[in-house]
Amino acid sequence: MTPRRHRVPPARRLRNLSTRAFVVSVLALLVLIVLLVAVVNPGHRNGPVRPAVPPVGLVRS
Amino acid sequence: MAGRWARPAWGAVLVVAAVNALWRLDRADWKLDENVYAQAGWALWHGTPTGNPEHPPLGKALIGLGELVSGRSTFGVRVVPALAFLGAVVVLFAFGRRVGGWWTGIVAAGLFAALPRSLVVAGHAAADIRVDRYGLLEAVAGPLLIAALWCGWRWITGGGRVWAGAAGALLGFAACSKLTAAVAIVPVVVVGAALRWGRRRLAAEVALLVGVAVAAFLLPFAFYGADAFHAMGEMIRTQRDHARIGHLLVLDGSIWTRSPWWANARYQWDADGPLLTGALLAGLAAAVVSRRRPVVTYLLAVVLSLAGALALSPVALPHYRAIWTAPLVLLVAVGLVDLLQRSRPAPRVVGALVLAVLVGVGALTTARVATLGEGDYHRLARLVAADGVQVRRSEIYAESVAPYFPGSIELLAPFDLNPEPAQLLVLDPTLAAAIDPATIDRWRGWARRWGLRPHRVGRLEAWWAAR
Repeated sequence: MTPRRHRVPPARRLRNLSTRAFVVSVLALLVLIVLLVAVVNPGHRNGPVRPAVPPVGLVRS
Repeated sequence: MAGRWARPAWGAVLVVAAVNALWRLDRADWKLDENVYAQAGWALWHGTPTGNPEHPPLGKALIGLGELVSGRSTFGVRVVPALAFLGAVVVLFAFGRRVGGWWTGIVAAGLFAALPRSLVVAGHAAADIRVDRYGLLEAVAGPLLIAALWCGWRWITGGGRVWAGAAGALLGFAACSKLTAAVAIVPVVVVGAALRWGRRRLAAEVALLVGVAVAAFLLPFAFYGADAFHAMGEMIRTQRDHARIGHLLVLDGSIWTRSPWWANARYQWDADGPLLTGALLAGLAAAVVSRRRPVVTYLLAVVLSLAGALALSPVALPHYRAIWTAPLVLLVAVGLVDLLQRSRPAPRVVGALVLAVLVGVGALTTARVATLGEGDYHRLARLVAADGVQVRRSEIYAESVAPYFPGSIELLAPFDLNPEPAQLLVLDPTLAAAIDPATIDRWRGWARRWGLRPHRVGRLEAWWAAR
């Protein structure tokens, strides 16, 4: 009879993770999020700002 | 253990928070959205819930409550967000103290109280110092959200229906103040369930949290009475339309009709600069390598969910990032205090340096609040009144000017279809920089025809005729 596999709770697994593994996981998640949002929402750029020339007779108050 | 200096430090944080929340609260200029929420909030309490169908009602109702109690003024509109800000300071202290001791609570509360959250658009400061000193929805939803996260953490660490229900209620109320906050329910439930895995009654508590959140979100729609479902439909429709059409804005020297994914990060960089942004990033990095991994995972999941969801949106305005400021500041506090408590000197030196930068920026910001002067719009209103102009109608591509001229109406550009004579035309470069110069010249042409003369008031171009 095969012994029943003991499952480690996620909280303990999180605590037992080495700092390096945790940092790599966070960075990997960040990269994934950035890639996802960059693909889904590149935005729509109309062009550079072209400031209007100040009007003639401008009074500085 | 509190330690010798902890209690006086907490007292000092409370004083700094009170100054930052309430001192010269009415001094800053009206924001355009602030005026919209003020009118919508007032209408909600007077049985005529009209205007601004895009956002759910609770944030506007709370802003309107301030008007009911304190009058229709900049103070009245801002008093509830200011009290919510003070509440968030207390919650951050309690939350930080629970997860990392007294000093984590003090640092989190102190940084939240003192750090700037200004808005810079097209190279101009579009708001004075901190967005949560305005009657904007994030200023209400943000404090409700951090209170929800605190209750959520109490549920995760201790369990119980009371904390699960409280977290759900506050999440629902936060979402009913600003829809963005609804995103936070996913990390709270997912991380919470993962960290509580294997405990008794987990499924029942999760169901309770989610159920109460939905009920709390729906409850404030009672303001609309029999039209509640219609109001919800309108909210969804207008949100969808806004996302489809986008929002004309200036970002990084360019004009955008749909903001890119990096917009919120750019707003933060433009407003906070490299020193403050770098210090906050260093604090975040310290949180990731800290020994408080469960709470860091929980808070990081919330911040990343909110930032990720907003990065997907084609509408990114500079004040949106205020929704995640409190959990972000708590993460920074957890990371920095953890560094300062290490036995090796190198992490302690780094932690002290980063904290010194943040405290220095916070002190400068508090000094700016203490000496807050007259804004461009207040000055404009004073100059126009001094010239004897009776403003009955103004045309603007700017923040709101109608509140300075009681009884007047204002039209927000594009007003090309209705160029009736106005007594005042105001163009604010934080908005008008997105308009092509030919259109601006056409508007100026109308102003000339109406007999108005151009004036420069601070950053504003304003047209009126002196009597």
